[in-house]
Amino acid sequence: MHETAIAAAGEMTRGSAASIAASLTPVHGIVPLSWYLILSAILFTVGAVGVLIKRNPIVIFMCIELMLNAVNLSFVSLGRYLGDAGGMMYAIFVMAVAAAEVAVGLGILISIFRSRENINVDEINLMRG
Amino acid sequence: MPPELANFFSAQVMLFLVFALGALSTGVTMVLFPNPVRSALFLVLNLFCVAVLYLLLNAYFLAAVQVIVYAGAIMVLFLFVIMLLNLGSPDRAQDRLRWQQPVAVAAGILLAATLGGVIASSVPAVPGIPPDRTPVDGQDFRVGIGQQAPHARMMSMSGAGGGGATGDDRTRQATPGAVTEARSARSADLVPRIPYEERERYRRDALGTVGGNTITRIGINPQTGQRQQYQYHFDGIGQVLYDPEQPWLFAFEITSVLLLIAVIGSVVLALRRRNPHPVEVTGTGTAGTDGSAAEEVRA
Repeated sequence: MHETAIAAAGEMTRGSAASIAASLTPVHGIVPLSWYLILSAILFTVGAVGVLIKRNPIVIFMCIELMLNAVNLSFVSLGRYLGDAGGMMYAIFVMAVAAAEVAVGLGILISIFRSRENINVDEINLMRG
Repeated sequence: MPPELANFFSAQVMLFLVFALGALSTGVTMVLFPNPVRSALFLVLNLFCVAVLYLLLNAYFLAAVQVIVYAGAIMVLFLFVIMLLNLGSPDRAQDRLRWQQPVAVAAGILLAATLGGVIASSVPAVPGIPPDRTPVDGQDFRVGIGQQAPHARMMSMSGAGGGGATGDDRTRQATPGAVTEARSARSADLVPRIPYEERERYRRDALGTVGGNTITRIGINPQTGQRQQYQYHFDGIGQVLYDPEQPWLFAFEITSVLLLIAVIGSVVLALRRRNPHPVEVTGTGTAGTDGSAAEEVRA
């Protein structure tokens, strides 16, 4: 039953409406890879829009974390579906680098706040304090 | 219930839908709330939802790290800084780029539509069960993304036959016809090099024991014949991460050095300067050099 469905999916040309529907349909009750990737793309977009429309640098940092998380999700799901541990390794490194980035970024914010009592990103346009 | 419908109502699909919706809604709410504290709390919820998705992907270790490090440590740091600086939402009146907001939303919708379209049209209909390998037994981890690979594997499964042939040989035997011959020859290069029986055994085991629901996965080790947990188990992560044959060990060391530098850097950045008027005193040098010079003098 499922074998024939999958075999039929293989016959379809790439990019056709039928093959898109096949790639979005769960087989064996298992979530298709494309669902994870689409969720990750939407989360990434939400984070990117947040970076653009927010004026508070701390919230911008949080939106960057959201984007990093979305990328992590696609790494892990691709690694899972390809049976490769590399996806998880990348996600671990992304998490470590994100932690370092947050530490340094918040330190920068604190020192900016000390020097000008205001951290609206539109006001921060000088490299020197 | 017809089997097509039953596919949609497995526990895995339901859990995915619930927590994907949770992740999306908390992410959008985080961006929409003007109060940074509420944004941070919604980001914590979002990270929890993504951690559950990691569990669904068998990434137990990452789910734990996500909750402990991200939702725990990093978000506490965020909340700490928000409350330390006592920030409200910045005044919208001094927004210099008023047109940026609608343009950003429109561009975001465009980006999401493009990414979604590319994913939906180019990601193959993966049959869900990946070619299972254990990171523990140190096979080669070469992986290619094969459009035809899952299909060819399924085709070869429907053919009869046993024996000790490897996966590639058996794929060629089991699929008659010139077209499928070419396809399986292509897939032989794309499918990771795993003995066919081993792969089949994991697949059947995953389907048999937990009904195709791969939240947890117990497999039978072909060497020892014992049941053991496969893929993304904690042992496997450590063995892959510290394996000198794999590229991760050097990156791991570099990352630890990076963390050390970040710790020192943030301490230096947040250090309170002793000199109260660093710029006004000289007027020429930067605040940093003046402050450190003053500290040296004091010392």
